Amino acid sequence: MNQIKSYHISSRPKATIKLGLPISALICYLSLSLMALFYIAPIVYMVVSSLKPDSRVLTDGGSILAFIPVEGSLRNFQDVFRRVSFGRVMFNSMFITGMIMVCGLVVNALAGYALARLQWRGREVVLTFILALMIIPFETIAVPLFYQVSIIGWRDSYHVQIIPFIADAFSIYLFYSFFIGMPRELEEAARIDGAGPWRTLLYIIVPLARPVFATVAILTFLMRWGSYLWPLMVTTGETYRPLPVAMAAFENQVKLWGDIMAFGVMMVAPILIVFLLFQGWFVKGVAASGTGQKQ
Amino acid sequence: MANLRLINITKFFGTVPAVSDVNLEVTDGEFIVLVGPSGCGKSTLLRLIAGLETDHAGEIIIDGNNINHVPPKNRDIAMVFQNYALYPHMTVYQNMAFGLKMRKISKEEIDNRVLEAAKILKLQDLLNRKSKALSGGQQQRVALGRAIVRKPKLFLFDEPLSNLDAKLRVAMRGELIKLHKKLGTTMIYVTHDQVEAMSMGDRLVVLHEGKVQQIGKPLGIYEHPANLFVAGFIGSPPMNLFHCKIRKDAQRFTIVTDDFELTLPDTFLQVIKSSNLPDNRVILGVRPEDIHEMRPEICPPLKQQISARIEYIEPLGSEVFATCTSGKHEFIVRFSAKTDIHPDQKIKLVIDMERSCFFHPTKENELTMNNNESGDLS
Repeated sequence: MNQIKSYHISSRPKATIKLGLPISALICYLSLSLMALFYIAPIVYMVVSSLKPDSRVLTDGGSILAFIPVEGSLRNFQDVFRRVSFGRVMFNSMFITGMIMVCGLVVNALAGYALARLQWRGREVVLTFILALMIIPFETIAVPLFYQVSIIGWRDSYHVQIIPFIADAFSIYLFYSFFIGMPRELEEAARIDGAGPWRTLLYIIVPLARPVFATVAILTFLMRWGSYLWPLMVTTGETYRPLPVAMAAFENQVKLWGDIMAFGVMMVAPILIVFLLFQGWFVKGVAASGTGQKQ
Repeated sequence: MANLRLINITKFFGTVPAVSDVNLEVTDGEFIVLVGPSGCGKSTLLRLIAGLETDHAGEIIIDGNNINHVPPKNRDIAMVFQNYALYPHMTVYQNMAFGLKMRKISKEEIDNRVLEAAKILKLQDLLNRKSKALSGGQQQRVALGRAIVRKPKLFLFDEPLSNLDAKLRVAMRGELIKLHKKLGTTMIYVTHDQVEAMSMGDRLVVLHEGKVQQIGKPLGIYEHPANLFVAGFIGSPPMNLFHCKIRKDAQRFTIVTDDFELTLPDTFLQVIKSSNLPDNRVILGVRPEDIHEMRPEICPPLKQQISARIEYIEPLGSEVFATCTSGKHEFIVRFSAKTDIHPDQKIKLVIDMERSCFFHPTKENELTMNNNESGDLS
């Protein structure tokens, strides 16, 4: 009798609505949609506003019209190019971010590998030190660093914006956590197969670590592309100024919201392109770094 | 092909000795199996030969050359790892060709060698597949292929079958034996599975706590284990051990336990007499197949019969293992599958004393006049 009772209980269908979804799933989807809307809305607002005449940006701001491109044109974008040397600042940002990303991948990957795989005295101390560095906000070291680069005469240059950011504790940690979980036998097999340390790194380790390379590349790009405080401190003119600082200067100069939004759209576009290109690897890399599953 | 000599090899991990004073001589074309329980140092010893572990004492000599300081890539050895260690981003072909490519062998030669190995291992249809898309058995064959194409002097296998299911393991065991016959190369094989060791090795090296316990032919070790550890480790089920006393009667020596008495065969008289046994104590070792059910035609004196009770049975199809008790002694007896036995049955048993072994009760080594019969004792 008990068995029959329990059968009836367990076989009772869950409450569903007409879509065929259980209510719990519906609530979940609804919450997620609201959250997505919350995050997407400012971006849509920025894109739509960049296409509108400046007078409409503020008047439409309080209504649904803010998300509808009425009287759309590319005039704001033309204005940006007319008022500032946008190509120059875009190049500056691209060059600085690209150099940090490429050099960072090499330096941080090697550091992560050395910490994970090579046996040397003081390895644990260095690792602990690097992990501790992750929790120190940049703002706290900005002034001493500024003082230091001023002494050596690095201000107003590309390298002052590149070199201090190549080695990055978080990137090293990501590489370290990937390499530490990689089967040691792969490297040993390569050693027996006749590969030296560099060829093992090049032919075996790097191809297997592609997801984590992509993750670090994207994270570095995102972090450095939007960097504002440091470039503001160390640059004085347009020659070496990157996009975020140029945008702030542009805002103070023109006070036209349509133009500012157009500037913003052009600044965000490369990030979106980079993310969309490497999205698959990025997800894989994050998952692999988190779970220790490498292959 | 190669001769290998290990002279006084010792390796510490921190303060823990992983391998202690190992001496071994492997002749050209031999299939040597290093066997022992987990943590006995067998894999460390293999890795020392491969050059993957360093900082050891002693000498490793291949073909007369000391290779202590030679890097792994120049030792002319190939190794198959427990988890195969195939490069997951490469195809089967690329995996097999990698070692040759690193040695700058011509493309044509690489093609020939890979195709030849693929043919031997029946991998022709899988050459373009990524190694991570293969089954365990296929991966195992690719790992073998990667070793074969190099045509090394010495093959090292680190428990290569332990990740396969039971059926595939038996099949691959046969494949490896055939491969050894075909190539004739010296092979050193590590396993914790004593069945694998017995069935594959020309000679076994039994290791325990980093020390060699016994080196010898599989059957020799099975019949004459050098000590109690080997007696318990080699053979499944293990050798039955009875703590006994030797009593000297008028003309004969008798082995006495609380529950039965056995006449010491003449063949062991000299051994027992010459051994310095404390309080005349001795340990009798008997394999499960050397204990038989008493039949009317071989009826020994009453005291030499063992009255036992069957506790439980393990029918394996071809045979039945029965765990029996006699007084405080518990032991295992192997019966043929056709024998009509059941739990709680009372049974009379006799021991084939001619096939028994005796061990020293404190030193735990086998008492024998000529240890070489069972292999070289370490």
